[in-house]
Amino acid sequence: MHIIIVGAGKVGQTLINNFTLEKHDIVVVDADFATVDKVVNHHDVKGIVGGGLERKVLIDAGAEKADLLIACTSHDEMNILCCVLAKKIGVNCTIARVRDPAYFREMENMRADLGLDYAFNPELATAHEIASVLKMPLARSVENFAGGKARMAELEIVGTNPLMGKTLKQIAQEYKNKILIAVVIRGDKVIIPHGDFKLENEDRIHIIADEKELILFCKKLNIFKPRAKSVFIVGGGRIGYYLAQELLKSSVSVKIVERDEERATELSALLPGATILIGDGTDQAVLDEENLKGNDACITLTGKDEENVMISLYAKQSNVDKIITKIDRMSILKMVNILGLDTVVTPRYVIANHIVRFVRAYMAKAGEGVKTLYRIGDKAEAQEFAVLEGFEGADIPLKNLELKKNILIGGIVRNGQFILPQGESQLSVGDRVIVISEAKHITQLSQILK
Amino acid sequence: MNIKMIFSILGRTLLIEAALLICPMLVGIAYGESTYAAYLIPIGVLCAIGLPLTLLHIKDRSIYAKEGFVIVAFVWVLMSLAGALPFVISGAIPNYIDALFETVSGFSTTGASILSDIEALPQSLLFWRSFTHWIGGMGVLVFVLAILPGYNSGVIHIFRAESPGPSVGKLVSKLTRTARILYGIYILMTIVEMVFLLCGGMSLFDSVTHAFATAGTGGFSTKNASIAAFDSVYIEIVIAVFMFLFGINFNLFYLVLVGNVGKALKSEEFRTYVVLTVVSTLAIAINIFSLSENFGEALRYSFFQVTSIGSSTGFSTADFDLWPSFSKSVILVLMIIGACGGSTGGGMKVSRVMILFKSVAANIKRLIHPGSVVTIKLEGEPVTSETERGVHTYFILWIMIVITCTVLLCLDVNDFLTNFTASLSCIGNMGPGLNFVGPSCNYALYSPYSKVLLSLVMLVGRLEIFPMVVLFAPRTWRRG
Repeated sequence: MHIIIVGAGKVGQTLINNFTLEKHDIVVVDADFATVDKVVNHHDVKGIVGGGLERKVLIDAGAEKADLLIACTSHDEMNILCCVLAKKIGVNCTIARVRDPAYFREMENMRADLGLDYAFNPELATAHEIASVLKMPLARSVENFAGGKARMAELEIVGTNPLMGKTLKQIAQEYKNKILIAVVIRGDKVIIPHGDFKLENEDRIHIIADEKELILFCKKLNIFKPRAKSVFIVGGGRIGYYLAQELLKSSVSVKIVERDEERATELSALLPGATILIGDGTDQAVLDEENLKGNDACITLTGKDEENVMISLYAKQSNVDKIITKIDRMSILKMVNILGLDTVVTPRYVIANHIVRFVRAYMAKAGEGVKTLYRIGDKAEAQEFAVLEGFEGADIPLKNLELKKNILIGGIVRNGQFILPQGESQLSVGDRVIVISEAKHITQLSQILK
Repeated sequence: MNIKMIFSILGRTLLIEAALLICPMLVGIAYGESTYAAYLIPIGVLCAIGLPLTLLHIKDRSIYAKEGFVIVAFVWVLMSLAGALPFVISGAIPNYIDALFETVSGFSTTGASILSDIEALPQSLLFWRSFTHWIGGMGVLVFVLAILPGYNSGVIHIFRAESPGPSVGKLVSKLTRTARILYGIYILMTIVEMVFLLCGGMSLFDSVTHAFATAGTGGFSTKNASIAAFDSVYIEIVIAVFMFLFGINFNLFYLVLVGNVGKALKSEEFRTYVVLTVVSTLAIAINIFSLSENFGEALRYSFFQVTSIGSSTGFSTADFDLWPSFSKSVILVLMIIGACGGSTGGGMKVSRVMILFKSVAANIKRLIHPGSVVTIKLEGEPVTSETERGVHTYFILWIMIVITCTVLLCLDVNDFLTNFTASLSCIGNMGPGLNFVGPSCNYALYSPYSKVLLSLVMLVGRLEIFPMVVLFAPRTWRRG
């Protein structure tokens, strides 16, 4: 596919990275020469220096024949206008980053008029992700499939976890829960495990199940934590705002520490249910005075990665149950992992997942596309598909189904019920199915068959 | 420095050269020559070195600008060393240094020869000589990129280091496809020229070899008298037009292919190149009018020589060494400027000279109006200060190399003009110079040490200075 990416900032570069791995033809447009130069030196893409609002630049980038344009400069207005212009020139499908809450609210109404196919908001998506982890704090990360009927939770095996040293077969016999261990991360490796696979210390496992079974299983393991009732947020930026809004809806108590007085005042007007404090989140006295310890969760969302890490480490030491750290720079992610922080979210990574899902769905035929995409590292993916009329593997017991190598059926949702896939289970038309694969870039369900 | 990756790419290129050597061997067999051993031995040597290198297990495949320069420089030196073997083994050029000079002159598309009787060579070697032009014209590593996919990011540095011009961009988003398009255009144009030459009554062998030599803007002919031997106005015009075409930036041909003729014709560099050619042709024609029978004849010789030198090919139909000083000086200027960036031609490149002039004009403006902001533009795009700096450095290095080379050659041959034009001609990949290295003479008069020096200068010229400088800079090889 011919994809034009306007704006090679953080999100832009993550997308370039993803799409070159999937072998798309990419043209990058950015106004800054040095940025374009860097991108062209590191990736096999064509770079054009220029503004995304110039017809000539877009035509040079091949907009007349392009399949897709993604506008992700730092200005909402520019992104929207760029998409409008691109559509006029002939781009098939346009995607814009829109971050301003006011614009984003109006987006649903304006989208059709503007000819915009998809608007994404990294901050909102990140807030969603954090909120879903807060509902299940025992997990490092949580992904919902089929509208929440199936969940995939990531757990780390540490300390006295009874799963340590056991094979998957033993675990199935011992616990008899309807859960599936779909993926194991060990160091740099991502493994889709077999029955004889033995779990070790510091393995990170991804479990697929419905919510009830998942909680039961964790209670048996004695690692269950109830959902967070009080949340302490450091940094009142856009993510903080979206998150507080979502949490307040499910009546969680929210405290936000914000350094800037003006912003704090603004927030207090926007979020009447929350407690807004003016103060420096890196000041220990402020944190102690506002009783960080007494909260179920601490979320660090300041604009500086270093500050977020520092505050999170302090919160860990103060025995806060759940700590979520926002890290913007991919380059320090590996270093941060060494510190043993609980959950780390990276907004541009979150949004890249959304966009890659959208693009794959766009590539597939109508209805056959990916419903949900979750990537585990760079190497494995969990995707949700609908089983449609005409799928060749329908109504065949899974044990007789010939799947490609390193593909696993991770779960089936039928009539709103989660079904643990076993040898006798079948996929029927109308089901939602969760497919685990090793970075195969699958765009439709039929591709899992041999 | 990612030595393993450098070796791996080197290995692949050597294998490709081995494969390319099969072509002249087949020609030899077709002509019933007993020269196949002269090719089999180098092929064996290349495979013996290349195969183990390609089998290297590489973990880290990333390469950067530095590696790009080093790979390109190494590849060209090794290719030339191996490419000289057939001449020596077959006994056609018994001295290895002579054979090396001839091969470097071939690969670098210079076309300077040390042979006084070219026609005495076996057909297969004549073919190999012209074939080296064709290989060297577009570049071996571009070829490697075109047919061998699976390289990671960073390969653009190799592409940049090998392709001529002040700034090298991609035609389409994938590098492999860009390389394929470039080679596609190259092959297509070569075939078209060959057909045109065949129609003019040239033999198949001569049309193939001359098409190769024109495409690479090289200048090796299979005749002692070069193109004058055919004594045909039609052939001269065909070759002159194609020399002119191969001196144009290949990106413009791509634009024409995708139907954007208007944009191609608007190119500033192309227009300058056309103006240069037309003005020089007329100026020389008027200047040599008195020596010719009529103006038509003057125009014929002048047009051929201007396109030949302007594109850095170096074919000749007339001995311009006998022309008046004014004509000779115009030819000297064309020799320095050369062809367009992104073509197969040599010289300093029209676009680079344009940037130099614009940069000088901008600086003079800054002198008169201190504090004024001036942006230099080429093809409607602002020239970044990085590109500008690159062009300045290139120019300075170019002058230094020409001077050094001239001084060193003067130790050997006692004629300043000969040595100066030989240096100019070699760094610009032209071929002929003036006086003792004029169109009717050759480079046989130089001693072996001068020939090695000139070979080096030819490679420096073809790779546009930087790769060779980086290869020999101690800083490149320092750890840490």
